[in-house]
Parts: sequence; C-alpha cells; structure tokens
Amino acid sequence: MGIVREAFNTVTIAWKDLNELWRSKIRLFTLIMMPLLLISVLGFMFPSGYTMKHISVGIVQLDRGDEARAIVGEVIRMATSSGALDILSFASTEQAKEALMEGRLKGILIVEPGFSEQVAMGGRGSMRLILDQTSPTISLAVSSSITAILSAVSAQIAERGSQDHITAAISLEQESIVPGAASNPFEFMAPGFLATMVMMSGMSGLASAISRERELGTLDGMMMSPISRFSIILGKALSQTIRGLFQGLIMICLTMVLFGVRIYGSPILMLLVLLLGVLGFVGIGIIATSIASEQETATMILMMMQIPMMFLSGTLYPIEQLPAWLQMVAKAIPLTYVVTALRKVMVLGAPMTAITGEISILIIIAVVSISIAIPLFERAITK
Amino acid sequence: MEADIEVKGLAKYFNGFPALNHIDLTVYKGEFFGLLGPNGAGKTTLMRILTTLLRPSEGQAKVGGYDVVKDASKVRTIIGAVSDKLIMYNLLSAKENLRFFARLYGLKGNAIEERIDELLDLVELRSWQNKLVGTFSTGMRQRLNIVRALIQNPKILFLDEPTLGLDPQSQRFIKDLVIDLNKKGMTIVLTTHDMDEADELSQRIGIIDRGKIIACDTPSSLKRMQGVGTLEEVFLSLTGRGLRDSANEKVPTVVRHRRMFG
Repeated sequence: MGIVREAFNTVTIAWKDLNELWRSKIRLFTLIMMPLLLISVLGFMFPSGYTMKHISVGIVQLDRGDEARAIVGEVIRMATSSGALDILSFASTEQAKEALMEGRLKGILIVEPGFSEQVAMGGRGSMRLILDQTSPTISLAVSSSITAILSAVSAQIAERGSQDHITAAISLEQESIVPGAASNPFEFMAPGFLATMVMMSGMSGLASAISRERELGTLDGMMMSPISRFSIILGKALSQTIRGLFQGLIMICLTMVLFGVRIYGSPILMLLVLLLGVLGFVGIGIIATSIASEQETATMILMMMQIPMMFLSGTLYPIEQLPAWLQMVAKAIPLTYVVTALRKVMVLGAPMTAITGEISILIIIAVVSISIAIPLFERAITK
Repeated sequence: MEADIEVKGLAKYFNGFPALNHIDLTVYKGEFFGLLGPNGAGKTTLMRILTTLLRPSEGQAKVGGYDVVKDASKVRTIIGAVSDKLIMYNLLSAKENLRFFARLYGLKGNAIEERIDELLDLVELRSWQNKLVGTFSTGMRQRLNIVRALIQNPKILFLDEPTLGLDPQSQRFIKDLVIDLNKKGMTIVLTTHDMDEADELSQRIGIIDRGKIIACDTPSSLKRMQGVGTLEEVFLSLTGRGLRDSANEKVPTVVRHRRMFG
C-alpha cells in the first residue's frame, strides 16, 4: 500500500509538471529547439559522409602498371560521383605533402611501387593514406570515405574477374588515424551528445524546477501535504527524465535523418542506459543544489561539474587520447559510463551482456546519489 | 478548554540569530486567533514551524495534539494553510489545481470531483473551473487559494495575510468565508498587518516582537490594558513607532537573502 501510494504521488507530481510544460508554449518550444539546435550545429561541425562534400585529397601513383591505373581510375570515378572527395593527382609524394602542409589537401593516397605486380601475382597491393593531423574529424571522414571507396572498388574488380582473392587485393596503411573512431565520425560523437543532453537536463533541470516552485511558493503546497519527500523528488525527477528522454529522442531522430547515424543496437537498451544516467544525474544535481546557499551558487557548482564531465567522458574524443591520470578521472565520472554504454549499443550493436559493467556502475551511482539526495533535500528545505 | 496548538519554549535560530526566542503559546479548539507583529518579528517563522515547513531549533510545538517534528505527516493531514504566496499553478485550470492537491491529500475517485464542486461553489468560481488560473484576477486567485487549503477539510487553518492587496469586495467575501468556517468549528490562526481585520475576526490576539510574544489577550482587553481605543494604538504602544527596516535594526544578512530551498 505504501509503495503504491508513493508511486501514485510520484506520478501525480510528474503529471502536473508535464501538464504545466505542455501549457507553456515558450518552454515547450525551448525544450524542442535545444536539441534541434545542438545536434544541427554539432552535426555540421563534425562532418559526416552526409554533410562533408568536396574535400580535396591528393593521389600519388608511384606504380604505373595496369592494375594500378585501373584501380586509381575507379577510385577517382567513385569519389567524384559521390561528391564526397575531390581527387587531385600529384607526380610525387613530396609535392602532395607540400600541398597538404599548405592546407590545399586533407589527405594523400599513395599507390606504392610494385602495386600492380603484387596484385597480378595474386598478392595484396599496398597503398598508404596520409591524413591531415590538424583536423582529426576531417581526417576520420577522409579515412572512412577512402576505405569505403577502396573496398567497393575491390568488390567491383572481384566481380569482373571472378576472382575471389581480389577482394583483399588492396592493403591500406594509414598514418595519423584517431583511435576508436567509427566509420561515420558523427556516429562516434552522437551517443556522447545524447548523453550530455540528458545529463544537463537531469542535473540542472530538476534543480531549477524545484527552485522555481520555491520562488513561486507552490513548493510549500506540496511540502505541507501528507506525502513523503521521496515522492516529491521522484515525481519531479520523473518529469525531468521524461523531458530528457524526449529531447534525446529528438536528437536521435535528427542524427539519423540529417547525418546518417545508424543505430545498430536495441532502442530499449539505449532507453535503459539513459534512464539510469538521468537518475544518477538527478541525484547529483540535488546534492549540489542542497549544499548551495543560493541558486547562483548552485548553478556555478553544476556548471563546474558539467563542463569537465562533458570533456572528460569521451563525448568528443576517445578517452584513450587522454593522459593516464586524466583517464583515471574520466573513469570516476558517471557520464563516461553513459557515453560508453550508449556508444557500444548504438555503434557496435552491443547486447545487454556487453554493457553489464556500465549498467552496474550506473545503478550504484543512481542508488547512492538518490539516497544521499533525499535527506539532504529534506534538511535543506526545512532547516 | 482543549488546546489545538500548544507551543512551549519554542526557539528558532538562523546562524545564531533568534528569529523566535523561546515562546509559549496556546490556541484553543475552535478559536479564531490573530497573530500580529512588525515585519521580521517572527510571525512567518512561527507559522512555518506550525505548518511543518521549518524545524524548530529548540522547544516543542504540538498541532492538533501531534508534535510538528515527530508527527509531521499527521500534522499535515489536519491542517490547511494559506501563505503569503499563492499556492496555485498558473498553467493549470482551477479544477486541475484542486484535483492535484486533492490527490496529494489522498482523496480518490468521485470524492475528489464532489469536493472540488463543493469548494468552487463556496467561492463562486464554478463557472471558471476550466479556465487557467493565470487568467484569474488577484481576488479570484486568492479565493481559489483559500479553498485549496480546505481541500481535505482541515481541522486547523493557518492564514497568512489572506486579504493582502485585494479589493474591498474580495476582502469582505474572504472575511465572511473564514468567519463561517470558524463558526462551524474550524480553528483558525490569522497573521495580518490589517489591524481592523484582526480586531473584527480574532477572538484573541497575540502580539509577537523580536521573536517573543509580548501580549496575548482578547482585542477588547488589550485596548483596555493599554488605555487606547484601537488595536492599531495597542500595537504601536507595544512595539514602538520606529521603522523596523532601518539601518539600526540588527537583522542578519542570512535571514534576508534567499536560499536555494529554504
């Protein structure tokens, strides 16, 4: 009976909050616009195969044999027809490198000497891809495009020649590749942005929602009613969670439609990860705001926590790129586990068994933070 | 007479500053009690403790026989409160607001709708039941705010300046309403700066100043004791004529600035 009553009170408060949100067109508009703007801007900032067009890549043929000419011809045709890359021929590697240094190229594809001979003998012809290190995201995009084109070219040649072995005819050696990147660079970023959005909604949203009710005086109405503080927090958290998930859904749809991000895993698993993440963030948000003497301080504390979390959690770049000591810090951040689990599910199609570690840690964080948050909240509002 | 509110040695400190300084007070069952005091005297702190919104630092307070700290949830079932702020959501209709609070008080099914209809009729807002509260006039909002506090038919009602900023018609309506509730047996505690209102409504009046109850009696006895003709004169003679927001007042900063939650 007690649990049913708590659940009923929780839903009553959450429903009231969502009803208010629905009625406030400006708040609803902002809620929808935030993920739209965020994902659009970031999506175009981190070019994907869908947004990146006409990136200049140099090609250097150090082998002039028939096989090399045929493959280079196909590469140029496919790259040009898709519009993703503009291929420029260079006589020597040095000339191409010079162009890359000057910023006229974003990558150089080199057909190594002896390519044709190796392929003709049934071996693997060597190619080398040099990437512009100053722009890791564009490097990733160039790399994925070239890799995709080369595998398509190999497949075409295999079909024409009815030779099975030709599918592995090209070995591509890459220089300066960012570790951990997905084939579409934005597929690497999207789970991070999704998790960050949910974190911000959970941590700041609840604190400001409670603060608003406090200032209006309506929080007193709930506090004077014979319901538990747990119901109040859970009700507010539930409405914030629904809002956060709604924003997350908008972001997922946008990343799929605009930037070609594919989701390989289970949407239910994604939802579970996001839900656990929100609960943890809500708890942390309440703790931060309960110990703050005023809202401005609370906002500063939350900002201080959110910004490093965003940069250290692997949202923008793989954690492996961080120095060892910062990797340790990253592992203490809840957002890291949300991002990692989401990325595994979304990009790799990982099943539940592959993310049990992250899920367990998120459950622990959620339980511990909410358990600390509730008494702190009660003390803060009645002290 | 049976006591509905019993306060003994109640103190509340904010960073060492005594907002309430060991006060004793009794309000009897069915009584209409007026609590007066200058700004910052401790009225709101006392009301917030009695309505379980604040924890006392020392002493004890019982409401309806229940301790406000140990039995807070029981206290909450028998009290209604109208604070100085409207406890209403502007983006919900009158009915949705009342339905929300009815559910928090454990009302269910048809009982909710029947109670809401009864209360809306009481404050003549039935025809406005589906309109958003944000579209209401100040008087309408306050009428609704009062019946919101009556949703679970409380035994004790706390009113913090319920007629502040209202036109004379709305003031009269609310005064008649609370007089009627008191006649039906509801214990009412009223804080106000309107001395005429306190004089008219209250059977007894307590005057609080600097965290202490400095006088407590019927309005007529207070006037007689001070040898003056109005309650305002009683108030000024007991609390002084100096302004309370002057630089000489030692009100600590911590009390003034808004906290995140409290």
